[in-house]
Amino acid sequence: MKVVATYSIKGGVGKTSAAVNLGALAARSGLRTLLWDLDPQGSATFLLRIRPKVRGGAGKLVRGKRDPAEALKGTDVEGLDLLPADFSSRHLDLVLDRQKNGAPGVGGVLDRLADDYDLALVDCAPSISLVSESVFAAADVLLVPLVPSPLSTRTLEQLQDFLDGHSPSAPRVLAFLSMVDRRRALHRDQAESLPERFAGVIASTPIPNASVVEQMATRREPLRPRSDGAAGAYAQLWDELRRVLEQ
Amino acid sequence: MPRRVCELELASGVDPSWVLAEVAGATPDGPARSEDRVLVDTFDGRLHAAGVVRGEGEPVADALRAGRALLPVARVRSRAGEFVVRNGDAKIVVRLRAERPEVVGDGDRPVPLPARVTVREVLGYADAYEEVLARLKAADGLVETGRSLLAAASWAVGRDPAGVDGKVRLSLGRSGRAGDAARELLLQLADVAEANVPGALDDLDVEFLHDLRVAVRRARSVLRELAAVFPPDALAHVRAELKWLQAATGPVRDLDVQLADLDVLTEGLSDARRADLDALRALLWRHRATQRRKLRAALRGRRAKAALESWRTLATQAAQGAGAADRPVAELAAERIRHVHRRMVRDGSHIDDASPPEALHDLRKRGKELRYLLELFGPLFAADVVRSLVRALKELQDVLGRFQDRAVQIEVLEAVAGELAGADGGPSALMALGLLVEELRADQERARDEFRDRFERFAAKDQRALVKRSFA
Repeated sequence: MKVVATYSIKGGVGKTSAAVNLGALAARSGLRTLLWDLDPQGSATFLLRIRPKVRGGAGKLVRGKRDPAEALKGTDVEGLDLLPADFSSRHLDLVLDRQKNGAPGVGGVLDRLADDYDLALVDCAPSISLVSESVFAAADVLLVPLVPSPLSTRTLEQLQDFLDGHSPSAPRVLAFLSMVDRRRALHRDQAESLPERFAGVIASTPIPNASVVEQMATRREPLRPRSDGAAGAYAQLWDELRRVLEQ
Repeated sequence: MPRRVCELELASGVDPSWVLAEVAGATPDGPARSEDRVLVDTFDGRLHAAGVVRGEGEPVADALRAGRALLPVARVRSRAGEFVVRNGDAKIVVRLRAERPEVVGDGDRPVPLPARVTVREVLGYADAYEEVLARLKAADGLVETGRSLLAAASWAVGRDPAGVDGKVRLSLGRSGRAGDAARELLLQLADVAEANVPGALDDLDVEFLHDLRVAVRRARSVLRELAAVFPPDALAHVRAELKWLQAATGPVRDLDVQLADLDVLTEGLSDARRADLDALRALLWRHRATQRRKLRAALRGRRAKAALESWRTLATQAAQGAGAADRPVAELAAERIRHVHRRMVRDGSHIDDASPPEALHDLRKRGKELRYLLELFGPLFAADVVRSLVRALKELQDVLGRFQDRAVQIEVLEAVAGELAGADGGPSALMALGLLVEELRADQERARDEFRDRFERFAAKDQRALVKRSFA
């Protein structure tokens, strides 16, 4: 099972939309896909019309006290299952801190599900914490949304430095430009130049700032498959991600 | 993650879509559509046994097929619709499918199958699944038959969905006449052999030929163990003919095993060395093509047909015989099991480090004889005794089999070495072959080292006493 974590230090940058849409695309392509909503806000869980509740709380999962399989929910996309968010996961840092190296952590939970899925997507809370470090240790790829700005590449460099310094087996970073507004010159310029400058690190497909993506929150479902617009962009991004995973 | 699935058949002519809407409160998930597919299964019904229904071209896990070819069972045309039940958040909590299938033959009128409803659990929503299922089961005319679409279609075209698995089952009790038992076993084995001939001729997968050979070998075992119940001349004739059939089908089977083993044996080699053996693999395939031509000629020939006919005739003659044929089958079988076991114990205990390989080969042949006796007549005796004896025998046979297989593999590889030397990439293939032969020899030695322990367990005092007591 490959593990991809969608991660960003900041919130509201299109992280959850990417996790949900890429999860749906992976499942539709035939992969047995798991989406773990590790963000206590539970946006991915909400988008998939599932109630944010894990019996015993997320703490019991990462302490290895509860079988994660019992908490899984099938989504409306066949082949995509969700390990839902739970409000208690805001305390996961404390749980991991108390256990220090003794807790199976995020990797331990995923290991127990590894035979049942081909791909796990972990939607992380926006922060750098013990939880994110536990995710970094378990992930093969960190998928990082970047909203075009003069500082976006700096964010990426900081993250890479952090990974190099903290994680013994650092995951590969694949960033993508998110919420790109083609009416703005800076966005247009960065969407064209950055993937070229950071080939292999920033995906060549930008995700547009589209109202259909915003409407996912009211429709409460992933984008329907289409070859154009935002749905088409996610499909291309999924192709890029899949190629990275196959390497 | 396992999810429960339940299939219900509709006995009446009621539209299944209507039932799903009215009884289960389900709504359509997309428009109804027509489907036309050829359902497939292996010859021995593995998909059916696993409850899996697949059409031609649809993916089937390798582990499920276990090397067997997927063969068309029946063409099924359906009008099908997907339905869902949603909860208060409009989230799908149960998935359903309504289907009105019919089997389409060649030019015949389609045969309608009972309409069916499939209820599928959505992970994490067990309560909803159970509630919907309970409501459907309580409705008029909906029955859980436990019969899949594959099974229904298979029966409709006159094929047992369980397929042909090669097993024979003695229906007689302990006191049944030996002549009748011989007849029953020989006829079942002839059925298995004949059923596998077309697949072996067409080379659909390697198991057809293997199962054909196993049936012949078992029939030869019946002839040997119950020899007294047959008329001597007819027995001698059929024994000779089955021996011929076994010999005629042997070379292709040996090459099949060799090719399959080559993949396993080369696992330990480096990629470069493995590639070096491509020339050897190509050579084995060429030999196989030659041997297959001979096999096809033999199986299509008059002699093979006559052999099968005389096999069946002999079965009937056994049932009509008197004398030994009138004895209870359990008595005869027990005598043989005791006798063969005793000989194995005697022969095996004479084997030491200085014994020639032939001594182990001969012991293995005896072991095979005992195994067939237990397979064919085991049901006549206490199940736990047979199980215990089979276990000890199997452990011993595994080691003896490995010893013998390695010897055959070395022999085959050395036999092709000369031919390989002249082939493209021959010299590097020969070097890789040398490594392979070395590894085979080492493994053969290991098997020989393990023999003593296994044999002692097989021939232990309590095992001997158990055999004596149980097969008195």
